[in-house]
Amino acid sequence: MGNKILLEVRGLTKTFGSRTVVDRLNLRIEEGDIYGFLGTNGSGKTTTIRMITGLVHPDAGEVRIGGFHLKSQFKAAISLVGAIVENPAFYTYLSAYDNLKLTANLLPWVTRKRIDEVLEIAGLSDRAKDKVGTYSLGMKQRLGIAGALLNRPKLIILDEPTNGLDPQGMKGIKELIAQLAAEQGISFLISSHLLHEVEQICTKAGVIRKGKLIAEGEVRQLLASGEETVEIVTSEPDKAEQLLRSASEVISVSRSQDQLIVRTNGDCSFKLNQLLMTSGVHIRTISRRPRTLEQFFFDITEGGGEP
Amino acid sequence: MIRLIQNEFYKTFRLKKLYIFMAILAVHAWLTVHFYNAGGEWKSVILMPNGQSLPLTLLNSMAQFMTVFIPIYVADLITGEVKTGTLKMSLLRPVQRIEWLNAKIVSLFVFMTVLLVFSIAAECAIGTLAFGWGEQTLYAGSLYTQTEGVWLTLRLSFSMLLPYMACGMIVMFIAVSATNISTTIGLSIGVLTATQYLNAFEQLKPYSIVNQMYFFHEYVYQINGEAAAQNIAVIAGYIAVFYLVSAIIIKRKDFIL
Repeated sequence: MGNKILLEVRGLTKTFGSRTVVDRLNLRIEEGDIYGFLGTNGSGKTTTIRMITGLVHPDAGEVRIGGFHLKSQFKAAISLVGAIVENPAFYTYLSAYDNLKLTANLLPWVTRKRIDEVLEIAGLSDRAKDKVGTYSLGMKQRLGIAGALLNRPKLIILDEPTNGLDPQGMKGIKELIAQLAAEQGISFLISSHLLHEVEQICTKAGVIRKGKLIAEGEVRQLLASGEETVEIVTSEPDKAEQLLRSASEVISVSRSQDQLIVRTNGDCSFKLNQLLMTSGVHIRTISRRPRTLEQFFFDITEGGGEP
Repeated sequence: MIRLIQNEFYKTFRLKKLYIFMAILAVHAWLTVHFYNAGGEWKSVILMPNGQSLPLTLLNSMAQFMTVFIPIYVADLITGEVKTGTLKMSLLRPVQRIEWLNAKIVSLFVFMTVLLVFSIAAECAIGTLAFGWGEQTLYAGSLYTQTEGVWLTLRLSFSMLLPYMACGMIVMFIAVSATNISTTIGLSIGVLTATQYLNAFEQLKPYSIVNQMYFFHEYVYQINGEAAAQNIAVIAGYIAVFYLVSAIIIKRKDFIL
């Protein structure tokens, strides 16, 4: 991973009326990161993204993109970014090509050839001359990404990029993000409430709750930390359950016939195995259930609200 | 900024609305001529039936269309872009908000100019087809040679862009403040209609923008220094104040799209 900071957010705060939507939020994205920005509905994800892109004015804090201060060096800062905020919006009475031409016109260094290139990348070359009004939601998302790519950005910000898409559309967008990150070295900030998706494509993640960033780090580190779930199949479930419940590392034990699901407060499957074996419990299988981002999310948000 | 304006032109000329408005103006001119020809001259605004006099004859009535066309166009131009989110196509690029607003104002000016030029051309053509071009231009009871008539028509017609622009700036202020298109159109037409009642008070009449939209060409025609300056100052005041307020609103606005 590179270490050049592309996006730095410090103390970002926004209040609507008496409600603080974003509260002293700090965020840092480095070159090469695919950063998943997670949170429940209403947690402040989209407001944060709107502030990062200058659509909403923060009450406090600052945003720097590529070292440029968003407020005082807006043009230089925003030139490094491609973004889809909320939903990609286009003039539906114009073709995809014409919509991109209007965008390209605001970016003097972008050539007509680049429009063809981004349409090709987004897989829309065949439908480029069709009016956007005839496009499906998935195609509009792809066109949004094509638009975001026009200025060869260093950072692409996508707000809920797979919202409303069917599984095939979701897969297409995920593949496109992975491809762009790998081939063009573009960094991404992706806000989503689809945790499985973020887990699949993101290298880093941050969790926002009630406007505050409550966890942040590399996805694999986040998944390696905290609770662990161990699945044990035994011919003596009663005895095993009794023993496990007495172990200090065990948080809870649930049972289904001869299968026990054990939640522990750390990496202790080896200890549990030893405990059962030394007590003469016959174990058929013992395995660690890989922790998912969904579990992690629910753990740290105390299951608060839908992701 | 120039590129933003180019984009606005491109969108304006791709809008069906513009051509519908043109068609309405042409139909209005045709109906006026038609009713005159059908024996309604006793209650027609046409006093000298010829092609060169028709644009000036119908200049007053253009205002009644503009008080509707301007709100519809500006609602689409500003509120529509905010509502549908297409505003993001510009604001997520190296474009300052004030540049975006200025491009919209230029676009509005061009829209009004296009409609005005079209209406002059259509009225000349329809009048000429119905009555012939004619020998002289009649305006405010005076007769002018063809050359003088053409010059007078252009001078007075284009002077109307000033009150139309003031009207546009009032509507623009409403458009940047409103959250949906129907509110912008409804409120704008309501406000413009309400200002017509200022006409009832002789002292307030010059401050009524609708009064200016109907009669500014007559003040320009009379061109008495002080009176003309007063009318121009009122209109310029409207433009300046509403531009300033709109600019402040746009600069401070949080776009929650």
